[in-house]
Amino acid sequence: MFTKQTDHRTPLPLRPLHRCGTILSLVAFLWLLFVPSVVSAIDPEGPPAAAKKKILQLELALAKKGEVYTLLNLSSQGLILKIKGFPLKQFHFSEISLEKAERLREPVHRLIKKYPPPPAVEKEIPLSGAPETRVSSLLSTETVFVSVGDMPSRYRLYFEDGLMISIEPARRECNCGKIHSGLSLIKETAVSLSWEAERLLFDRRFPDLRLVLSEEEAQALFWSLSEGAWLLIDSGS
Amino acid sequence: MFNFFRSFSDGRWKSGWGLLLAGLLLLTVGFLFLSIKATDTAASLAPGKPAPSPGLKKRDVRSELAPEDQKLRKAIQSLSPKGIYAVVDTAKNRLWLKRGESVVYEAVVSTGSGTTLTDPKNPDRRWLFETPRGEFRVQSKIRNPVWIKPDWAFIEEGEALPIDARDRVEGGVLGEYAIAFGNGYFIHGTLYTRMLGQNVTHGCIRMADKDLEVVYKSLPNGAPIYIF
Repeated sequence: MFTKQTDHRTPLPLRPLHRCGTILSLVAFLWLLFVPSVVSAIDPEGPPAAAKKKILQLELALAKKGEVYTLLNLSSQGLILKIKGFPLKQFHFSEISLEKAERLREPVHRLIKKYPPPPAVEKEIPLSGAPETRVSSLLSTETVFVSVGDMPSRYRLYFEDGLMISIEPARRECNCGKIHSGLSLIKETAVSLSWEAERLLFDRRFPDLRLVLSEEEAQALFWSLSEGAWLLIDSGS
Repeated sequence: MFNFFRSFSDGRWKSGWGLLLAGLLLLTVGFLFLSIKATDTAASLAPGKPAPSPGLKKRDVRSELAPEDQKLRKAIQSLSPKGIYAVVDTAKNRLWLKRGESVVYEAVVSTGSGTTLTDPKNPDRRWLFETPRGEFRVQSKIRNPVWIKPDWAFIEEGEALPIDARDRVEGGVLGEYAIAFGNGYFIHGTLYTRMLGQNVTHGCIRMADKDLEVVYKSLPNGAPIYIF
């Protein structure tokens, strides 16, 4: 079918099939040449850049308020408390899972409730009539107070627009014996399941986002987040 | 060059040029696929799956370098305090004096106890002893301050409210210095330094004498205090 080619230096005129193949090869070659520019041209000002710009615009508006706000970066798995645009404290979560992405499309959310609520300790008023036992409030050495260690490490955050975030403590590594660690695992799982069941009954839906932090960080985050504070979610696009 | 095209069109795929072209095409398709995948936002994540690691850095850098983004970043940065300022962490009970991003001084403090007090004669009157959070400024600096006891101080001690205002004055309990930062809240000294590092106050920030002196002398009137 093909003419035997004897001399490469003087190629024979190409037949139709040869021509078709050559054209295809040329197209492929040109495609290769243009690929870098095609790739770089994909969406240069499209959704990711626009989202980034929107985040920055919203952050600027929040920073101007002079209130503490929180920036949640999903891609770097970090959560930063900020004020006036500069970071106050950073938290790192070890796990993140997204149940529903729809509510995360809007990047800014206002915290309206933490559940369970922080522990309330009511001060006891001493009985009057024993003035010799009284000391000034500023000199009192009472030990009734609420500290960060009293805060829950497993809780849910409810936002104005319906967004719900669940914060959970990471499993503690136990260097104890196998039986002990097995028992603690069973206990942790039971606590987690009962909490999930209780919240599912109450909320009738799963949280939109789950974040897992160390127990101490989860408590510190609970302490630091005030109801009414703003949360800015950067999807990392 | 011509031989290269011929080897392709002749169907001699095993020749070097043909294989090279096929490989390049495969790489192209793969590269395009990855590029499109990287543009996906978190909204496209499958439910219950962990978030992916950061997307293509090249894209991030490009978006960071966009002039409008840079302008916005600069606008945010311009809001940061210029001179010396204080940051107070009420969870850790720490105070930092900072200039820019560098820490100039660190001290252990005591902040609000988070307890509540109800007036037994009027249950509608309740106090939450919490250190306020947010941005504040040094409003005044006082040497040898005296404490003007508010109502809750008497109620807390089970005492009747004084009729004479002079009975509200108590000296020697605030230390040598006090820094007012608004709404009756102060950074002041304490006689009970062993309680430092704990949440035991009525909302004020207590410090040890030597730390208080440094803070008092470092923070000018109007200096920002950020509490979280």
